[in-house]
Amino acid sequence: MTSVTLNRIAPGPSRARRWLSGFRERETWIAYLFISPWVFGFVVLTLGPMLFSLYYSFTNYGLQQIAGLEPTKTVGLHNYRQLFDDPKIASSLKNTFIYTVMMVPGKIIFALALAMLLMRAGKAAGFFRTIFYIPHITPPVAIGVLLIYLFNGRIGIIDVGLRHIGLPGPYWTTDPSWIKPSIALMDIWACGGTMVILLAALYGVPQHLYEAAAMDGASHWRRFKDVTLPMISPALFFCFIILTLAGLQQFTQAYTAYYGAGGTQPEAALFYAIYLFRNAFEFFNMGFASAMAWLLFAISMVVTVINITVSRRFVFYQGSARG
Amino acid sequence: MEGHQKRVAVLLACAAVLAAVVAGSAIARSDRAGAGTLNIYGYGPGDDVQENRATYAASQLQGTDIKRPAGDFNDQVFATRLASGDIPDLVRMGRPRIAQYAAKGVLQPMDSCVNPVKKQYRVGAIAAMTYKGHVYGLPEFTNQITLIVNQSAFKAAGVPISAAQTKNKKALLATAKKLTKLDNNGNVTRIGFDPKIPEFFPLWVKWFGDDIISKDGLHAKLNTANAVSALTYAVSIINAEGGWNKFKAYRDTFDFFGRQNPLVKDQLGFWPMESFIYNVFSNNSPNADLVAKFFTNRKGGPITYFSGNGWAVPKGSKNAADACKYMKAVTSVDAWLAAAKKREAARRAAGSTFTGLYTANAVADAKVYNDVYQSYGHPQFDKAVQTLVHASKYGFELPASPGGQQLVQSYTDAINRVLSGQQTPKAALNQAQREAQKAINDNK
Repeated sequence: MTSVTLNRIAPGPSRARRWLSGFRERETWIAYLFISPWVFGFVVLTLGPMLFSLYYSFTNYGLQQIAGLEPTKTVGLHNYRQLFDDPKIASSLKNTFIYTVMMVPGKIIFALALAMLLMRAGKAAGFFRTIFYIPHITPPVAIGVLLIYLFNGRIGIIDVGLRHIGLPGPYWTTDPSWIKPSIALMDIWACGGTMVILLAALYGVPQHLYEAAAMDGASHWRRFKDVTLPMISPALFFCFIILTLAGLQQFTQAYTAYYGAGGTQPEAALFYAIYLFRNAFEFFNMGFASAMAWLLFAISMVVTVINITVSRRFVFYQGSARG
Repeated sequence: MEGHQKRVAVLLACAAVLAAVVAGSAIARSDRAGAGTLNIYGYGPGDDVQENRATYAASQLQGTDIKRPAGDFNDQVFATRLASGDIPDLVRMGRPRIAQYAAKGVLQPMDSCVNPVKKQYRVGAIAAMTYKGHVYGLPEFTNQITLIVNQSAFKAAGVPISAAQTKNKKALLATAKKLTKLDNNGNVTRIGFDPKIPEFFPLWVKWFGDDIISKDGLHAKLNTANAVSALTYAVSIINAEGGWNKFKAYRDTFDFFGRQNPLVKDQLGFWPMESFIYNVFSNNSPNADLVAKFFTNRKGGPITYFSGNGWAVPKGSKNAADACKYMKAVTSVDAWLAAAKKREAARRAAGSTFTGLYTANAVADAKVYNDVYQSYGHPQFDKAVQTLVHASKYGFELPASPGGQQLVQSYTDAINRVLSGQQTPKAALNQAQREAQKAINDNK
């Protein structure tokens, strides 16, 4: 009995000591050597700038400080208070949320539809997979430029096509109600990356489940709803999280289309990341821009946590019980 | 354990080598930027006029290694260069930015450099380079606004050319409506009159007898009754021509700088435009049926709005002496004259037309007009040149302001909100006023 008690409370080597002792092994050194480029990149290019921006968000860091003409002074919560005073913060956040709400489901549904079609394409699947993937590797700047031409309310191919089927096309690039949908549609068009992820997930669904469902007389819809969707739900959830974060950071396409040289700068296309960029690199309110960046980070974290919490009800991981 | 120590020693040695390489490259960079080198930023390779002026300026700085990396001025790049200590010796940027950077202490006053030659330059342009009593550099080009009238459109619409005027508000609106053409589906096929807002908003406010900013550049005046009236009126023209959506969607199809420009394709009736366009049109469509007219105020007197770039020397420039020499040389009478002669010869050889250069150096403009410019048998462009030469006497420019760039941004955003129907002119300009004044207060 005594020995049992002793075994239970006898402290082993501490975690730090165990970690340090690992360095006696050659494999540990090699492992760290291999991951060192990533660690270096993460510390220097991500964590370092993040910590600096956290510090700057509490300072008056601006052009004088950049040029080394004046010292950086702390301003407490001034920059964070200013977030509530600036009406463009609310409007740019609203634009960003609306766009994200349109883009994320649209892209997932479209990508899933394409992936399911590819599953049935037989020998032509490789060809079509390449075709569908090409927009994904088109540079976002090119997509931004393309947007203005494709969605021109007068000569744009989208409106010309709509008119051919008797529908009056909207003024996508000038009407504030249609600017965000046009950007979301361009993003949905470039759904190749999402499509490939979902295609891989679809290939992973065991055929015997479909066969069993068919034997039970399940319709196509039931097989899709009760077999396909649960089985690919982890991939869907992954895409959902990644696309949501990408949506909250929308910048390049909208900036190129509307805020580059000669851009019309409509407020409907003022996404949060664009306003952040302008504050930082056009108006040099670096402290305020840093506070904006941290607000976006906080929002992204909250949205992700909500998504993860809600996902427990809908995402099915093989080998684990449904939450 | 011995092996462990060896590995630590190897790691430390690697770190030391890395540090030495970084330090070495930093030293090499600082050595490169010594005297005898002039690092220019914002004046990369450009058109023939730019290159010929650069060649002339370089010839005035024999023995100096002049570096002109590609690209125009960009705030982000400039800030990065300031932060990294890679400070350019000389920069060229838009004039509204000059006071903004000067107010932050990033530029150095250049009074002793500029004062001896200051009289050659246009007063408004020099004022845009002046902040708190100090001149921060020299102005370069000066774009000025005149009315371009598509004569064919007027003839086709049965409207006399005399109706292409900006003296009478009601008549201008009526002419714009008459010249606007719609197809069977209600799409615009010719815009009657393009007021060119938000770009020329300061001109429209001036048209109503006011300014958008006080003369000292410290007080925004974006929501005055005249500014609201100016915006309301300019927007009413666009609304009378089919509304912003149709107007903008159609305007986005124009090939302004090509051979199928809106004059050739009869897409625009008349509109205010910067002076550089005459060189573009005369080159691409020398037979275009255009008439150049003054943009007049409501009493009938000519007014025009100047804008352009300026040269300045950042604080920390390692070669301010050569920077001073270069900016004087590149904006000098001789530089403009040399560039004008070469362009004129090139245009003549190509059977095209030269319509002069319009700069902030009034003496250079006169010299180019008197010594280089000549008629090429295209009377419409001859008339345009006469109009530009006279219009330059009636120009105004936005004064230097510590919030200059943000003032422009504020009214641009406001006008876009109005055009897209999100706000009334009064509400939009009230918001713009708050934003612009805050920027001025924060920056001064």
